[in-house]
Amino acid sequence: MRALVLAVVCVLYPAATYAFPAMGRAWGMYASTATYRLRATARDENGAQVDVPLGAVVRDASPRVASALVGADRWRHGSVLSLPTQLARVGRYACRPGLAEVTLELEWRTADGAPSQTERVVVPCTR
Amino acid sequence: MRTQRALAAARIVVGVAILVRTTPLTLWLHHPLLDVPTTLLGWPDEGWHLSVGPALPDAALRALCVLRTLLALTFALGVRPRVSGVGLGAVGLLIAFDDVFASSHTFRLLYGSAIILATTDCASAWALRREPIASLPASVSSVRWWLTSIYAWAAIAKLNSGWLGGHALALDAQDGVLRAWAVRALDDATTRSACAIGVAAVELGLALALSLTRTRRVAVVIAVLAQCVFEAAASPDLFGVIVVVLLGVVWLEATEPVPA
Repeated sequence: MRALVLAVVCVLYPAATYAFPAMGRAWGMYASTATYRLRATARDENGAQVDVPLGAVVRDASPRVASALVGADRWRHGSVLSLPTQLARVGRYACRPGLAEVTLELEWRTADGAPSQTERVVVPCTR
Repeated sequence: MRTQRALAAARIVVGVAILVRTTPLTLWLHHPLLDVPTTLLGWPDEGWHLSVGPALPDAALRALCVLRTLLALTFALGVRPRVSGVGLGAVGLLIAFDDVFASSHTFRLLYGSAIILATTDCASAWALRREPIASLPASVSSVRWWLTSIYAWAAIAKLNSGWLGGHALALDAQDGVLRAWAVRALDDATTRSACAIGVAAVELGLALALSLTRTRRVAVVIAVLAQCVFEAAASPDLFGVIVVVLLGVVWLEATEPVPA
């Protein structure tokens, strides 16, 4: 029993966080900081392009989500390994009456100087 | 008896730390960087959040938050710690997975420590319901392997050019994660890179040294010093406090024979 618990907590769980970044990398203290920018746009029901300020998206968010996203329309720093897999959910919260779909584009650069990566999701706003 | 007390002390500290950090009692810590839960940490009335998997229903989340508080209390008091410790860790992680931005390394350390301590003889002293000793050497080695794995994974996470080149430290400094003196000390790129390589080397070395009997004592001393430096440079929540308490258990193993 003890060996099983040790294997799960000390090996399997941390290894799983590398396979599923949404879990947040285990024990990657201070090493997973990245520079990122999030842009939100939308199309209204007439097909016209509408800007969506991030402040409006996070208005009803928990303080922790808000602190990660506020100001991210300009380049900012933080640990965002979990964010690319969560964009579709953020998009659903960006939907407002009158909007047909929301597009979120997350650009991020890790600290190793690798080229920036982009994740883009289009979320239909259902009534 | 000292080993039993060290394990019991670790149980009490971890239980109380979870109790304090997941409730408005966090105010008592007077820590300017810590967010203080208005009700219980993870309580669903804080606004929408992002979860690892499917979001838990609000009612389930409320029940889990209350259960976590009760389990933290019973674990700290030493009432059936095998059940309350594993339950506390599992429930805590479940709540943390429901809010990806709430699962800091300190909470992972606390929940993981509760699960690991639950498998030890942590209720053989200072417990409302004392339990007979199963195996003190196995108990201590569980705590040691837990710490060894943390240092090993921390080093693995840093074995990339972003960390070793000092770029991640530069971002941390700009992001306000580091204290002013640390930002000043890491002002130039060469120092940042040297510091980053040093931190990764120390963590890797500690993982190795803690697992070897001959180097264990010096490993504990270096680990405590390293935690003091991390605390002074970044003040990472209660992380350092918990690690030092767990290192206290390993110190006894390194300095005196643990009774079988």
